[in-house]
Amino acid sequence: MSSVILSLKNISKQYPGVLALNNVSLDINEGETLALVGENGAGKSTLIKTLSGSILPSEGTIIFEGKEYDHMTPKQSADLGISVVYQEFNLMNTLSVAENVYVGRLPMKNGLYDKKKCIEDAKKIFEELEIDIDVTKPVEELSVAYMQLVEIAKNLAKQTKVLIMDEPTAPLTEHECEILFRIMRNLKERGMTIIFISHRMNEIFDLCDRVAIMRDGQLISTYGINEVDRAKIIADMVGRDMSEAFPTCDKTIGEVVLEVKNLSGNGVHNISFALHRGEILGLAGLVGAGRTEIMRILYGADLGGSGEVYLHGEKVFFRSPKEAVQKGVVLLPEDRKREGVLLSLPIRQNIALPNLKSISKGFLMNFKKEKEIVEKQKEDLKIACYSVDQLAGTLSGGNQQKIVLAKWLASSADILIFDEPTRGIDVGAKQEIYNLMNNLCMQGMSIIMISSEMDEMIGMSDRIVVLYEGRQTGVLEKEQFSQEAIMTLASGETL
Amino acid sequence: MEKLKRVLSANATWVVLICLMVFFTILSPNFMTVKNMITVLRQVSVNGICAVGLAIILIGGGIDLSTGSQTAVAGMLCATLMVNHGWPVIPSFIIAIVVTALTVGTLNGMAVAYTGMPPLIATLGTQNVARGIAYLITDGYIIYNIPELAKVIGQGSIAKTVPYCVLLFIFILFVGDFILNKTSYGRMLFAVGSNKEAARLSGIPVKKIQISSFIVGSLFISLGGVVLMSRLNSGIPNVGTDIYIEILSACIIGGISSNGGRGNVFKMLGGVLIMGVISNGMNVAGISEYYQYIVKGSILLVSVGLDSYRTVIQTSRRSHVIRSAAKESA
Repeated sequence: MSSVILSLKNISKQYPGVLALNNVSLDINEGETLALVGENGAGKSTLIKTLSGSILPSEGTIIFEGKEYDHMTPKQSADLGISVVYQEFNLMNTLSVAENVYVGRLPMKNGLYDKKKCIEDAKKIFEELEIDIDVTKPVEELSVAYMQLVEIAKNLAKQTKVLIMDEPTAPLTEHECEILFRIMRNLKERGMTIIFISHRMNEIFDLCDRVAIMRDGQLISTYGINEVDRAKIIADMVGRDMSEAFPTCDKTIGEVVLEVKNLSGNGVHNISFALHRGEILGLAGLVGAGRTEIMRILYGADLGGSGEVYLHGEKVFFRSPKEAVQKGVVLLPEDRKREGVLLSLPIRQNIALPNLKSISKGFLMNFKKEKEIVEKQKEDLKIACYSVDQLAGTLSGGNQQKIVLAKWLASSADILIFDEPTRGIDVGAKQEIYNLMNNLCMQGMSIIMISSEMDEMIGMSDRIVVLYEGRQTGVLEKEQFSQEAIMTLASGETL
Repeated sequence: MEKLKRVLSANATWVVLICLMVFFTILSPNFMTVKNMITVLRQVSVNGICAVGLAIILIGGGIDLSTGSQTAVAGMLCATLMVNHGWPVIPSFIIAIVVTALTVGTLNGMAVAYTGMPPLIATLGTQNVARGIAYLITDGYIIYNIPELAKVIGQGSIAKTVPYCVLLFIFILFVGDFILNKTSYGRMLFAVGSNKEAARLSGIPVKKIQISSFIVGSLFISLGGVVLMSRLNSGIPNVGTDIYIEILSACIIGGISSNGGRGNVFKMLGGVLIMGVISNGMNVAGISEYYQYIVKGSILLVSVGLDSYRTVIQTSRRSHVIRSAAKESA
């Protein structure tokens, strides 16, 4: 067996209230390609960031080529030859490919930038990689795949020993992936050590020597690629006990209230589903599968969508959130602080905002009616505050979510889209939100829920639509629910 | 002692105002006279009416640097209608205000709402466009011989003590407060100024609100323009070239946030008076115009700086509160 180049020993990272990495130990062999897999939030990115130096581990040591470090700094990491290609590129769009490759280390002659040498050197790198590219072109004229290759070349130009790639294939087309894989094989032949984060099983089996599986901040298992199959990897990724209990309720599921046919846009294609009265429809998938994107199209928040939408049998297509709200379709966004609540305004004004028409006569506000409506919501949802004139920004995440809910309940909403309803909310408040959601369904409202938390998805939904990279890969009925089934569909496999 | 501190900090603008008045009284014997105080009030009234307009724009999340040019266009338009075209006084006033607001205000609003360009740049552009229009109305000549009736609002007063324009300013303050705090439109303005995206996702027609905020604001600014014309007895195309800085400082000192979504026009009155006293006090004390530029510019820098800094502090404190609240409940 080849020698260990990089070794993590008992790495932990503690955030307030969350243990993002829990005692992770992992050896990486020189020249191997290691796949790192896991669900959303399993700790892959945190692990990578401890290697690149952008996060300080709370405990543990990193051993690189026999030398021990208790943490890395970004400069140290780069100097040692650890390079990370992130999903978001660090490229300067208006500069040429060659200049991007040598940014920060441009070849100089007599104190001036030596453009000729820069171009020649860059050409050489791309030739070695067998990539056909015009290095004098500005980066903004390249396709995403080529931008990625520039990013890789940039790292190779600095004597990289360990190349870490964070879901490099996510934005690429199939053909572009092929180019990338050829480069990766090429690098591997030349002895490069590669850590490869991916959700795509095919790629993992094609390219990698070993696979390391993470879950809830822990390293669960590592396998040689020949001693494992897909089912085993998926089982290890999801094999968590359902820890939280979910409230149940007696509700009747009624007629179809919203039907979506071939909805496309924002990089998502042909999503079709029907939502029934009183139902919670889960929208599952990994980060980047297009769940939020397609809901924003449905809600009219983003334009450029196509397809058919039937609301209570009537054909509609919302061109703005205003139209959706008027028809009773509302969104509770994932990013509450930026898109949900107005932090600098009082609770009262937040709740009144979408209901101004009903609480004013012409232009004139009816403060008595406003107070009635707001106080009623505050009581109903048990919003914890000393006064409705308190600024929304001073409340906890759970109470802010309740304000977003309150403003819609005060309107005539009957279809609610919850995007990550309990993200950043503590356990007690989560239960409250779950109970509220069930109550709404019992009152005859319908809910579409996007969630990255597997147990929440299974515990709350009546049916689950699963997306994978902008496509719908399946619909699961309640009796088919299992973590394995969802994860299989969410990885683009079939059941 | 603690109580005194609290009272002082809650009324900081008024405390500063009193200090400034004492300062200028000591500096110049001509400052604290009945005649000069009435002059201050007249000056303050014009700027104050404009400041109510700017406050509406600021609260809606915009900013307007073209205020001075707008006062010139409105004044010139009004004067030329009366003097060169023989229009009656009242219709000339109304037409001048409405036309100026609908053109300059709409241009500002559309530029900001539809291109997404920063309002600072958009209104810097219209500042010059509008100034050019003001000159073109008479090819640069000043319009004299304003009808007697048209001078009343700027120069007349009740029993020779309380100027009409001061009463108008007070009335406009109430109108501004009514729009901002008593109407559903005002609510939407605060929402858009506070967080455009959240407002949009709440079903608020953000673009409409943005454009209309510039138009409504311009109505007040144009009104200020015709009152200024009346006070000066003539239509002057290069009038108000540097009042935009005074109006903006007045708003910010008076607690209208340059980051949008926060402010109250009655509290803003303090800022308007402070700027009026400084401006007049420096003139009366014979301080060179060059120094006046430095003083006014510095005031803007300091007031906007403090306002921005306060927002930064509040944001970090807010996230601290949320974090500790989360810790407690966890």
